[in-house]
Amino acid sequence: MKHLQENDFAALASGLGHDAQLEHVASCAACRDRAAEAASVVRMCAGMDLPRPRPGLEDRVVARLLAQGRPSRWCAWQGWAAAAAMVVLGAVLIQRRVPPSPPSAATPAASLTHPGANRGLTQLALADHLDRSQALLTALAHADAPSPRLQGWAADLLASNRLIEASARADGDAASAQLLAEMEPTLLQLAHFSDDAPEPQWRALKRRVAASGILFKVQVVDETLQNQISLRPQGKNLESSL
Amino acid sequence: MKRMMQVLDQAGAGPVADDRIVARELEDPEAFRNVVETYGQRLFRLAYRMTTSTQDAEDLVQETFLRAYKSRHRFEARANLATWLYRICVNASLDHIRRRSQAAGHGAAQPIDESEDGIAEERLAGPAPTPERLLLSREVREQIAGAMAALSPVERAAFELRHCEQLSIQEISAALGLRQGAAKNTIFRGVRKLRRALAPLVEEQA
Repeated sequence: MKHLQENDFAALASGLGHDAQLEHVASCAACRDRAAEAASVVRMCAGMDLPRPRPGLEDRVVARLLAQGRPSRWCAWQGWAAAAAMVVLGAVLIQRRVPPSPPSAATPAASLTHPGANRGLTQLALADHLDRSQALLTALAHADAPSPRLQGWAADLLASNRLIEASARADGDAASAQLLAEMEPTLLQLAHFSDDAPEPQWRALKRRVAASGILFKVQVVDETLQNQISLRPQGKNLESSL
Repeated sequence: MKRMMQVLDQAGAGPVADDRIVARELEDPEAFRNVVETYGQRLFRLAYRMTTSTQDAEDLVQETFLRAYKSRHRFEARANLATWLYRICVNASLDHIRRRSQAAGHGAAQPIDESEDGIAEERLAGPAPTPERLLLSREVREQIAGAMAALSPVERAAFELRHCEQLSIQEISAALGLRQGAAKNTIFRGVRKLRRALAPLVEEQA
């Protein structure tokens, strides 16, 4: 029987062995020893302690970002942000005053039956939803314990999340729809988190949310959306949407 | 997302959008802090593996987040955030290594990656070593560090991502910007080199 070669041992030690290699190792003591030796070498090298950065690496990174990221158009941005906020706020307020029952109501669901007709308003609703989601996820990151306020907030967002996701999908905005689908489990877990749950469970939930990068993703999509909204001739589209 | 970016590009709004994104984050930097806290140490390990310098690794972590921060609008929401950051870190590290090599005037500097090392494979038989016992010796630790240092930066990155970060081949190939076959070969080549370099040590201990 032909023995395994060096590359085979490297594959096995890397957890990437094929069935044939595994079968051979199971029946050949010489190759089994060499495979074990390769695995030991890998374990030794992977387990070797590495130096650690000086304490406070994360603080230094954020400080540098803040120092380098301050743009010269800061004042112009503030004006743009204020204008965008007014547009979004106005749209949301008007939307909330529209009775929900008539078929022409400017809700996200309306765009499901009339794709494109209410796209502008759907985007504003999506932007508002993402803004509130960002705020919730940021609050979650800093919350030491669950609170009825956080859970109620999550429940509110959960109630509209699927509807807005469907609207985004109907508008062909697959990226936003995907993001909202990804966000749903987080909202669900938070909305139904038991007050009696031990603290480690709360910490584990926060770790999972942080590791998923969902807050970062929400911000990226929201920023792109805000830019898109700002580039559109707002008056005309908004009027036709409303 | 791509469609949204095309709209921005067609409107010639690229640089303006960048500034707005940065400015928006300045209002709420906490979100990005989460990303930094989640991935900072892991990126440090990767950068250290590639450069073998603590100071360089720390600088590269900062550089990675700065690049990520500035190009956030290019991040696909459906993409893997970790893989995206690793890719930026690998590219930043390779840029740094090239600059360092040029500054030092190394005509025959260590290659950043090698398609084939050409070193004869050594044969080694015998019982499995006992790594716990081996790791007790400072001399052994130095030999292991030397063996790691003899790998190319890309091989060390591939080793870190596979054997320490436990990433899949698909993720490693994305992080290194290699095809999956090439990513596998890079991992295997690194393991073969380590095994050859540490063979005398293992024989001695056995």
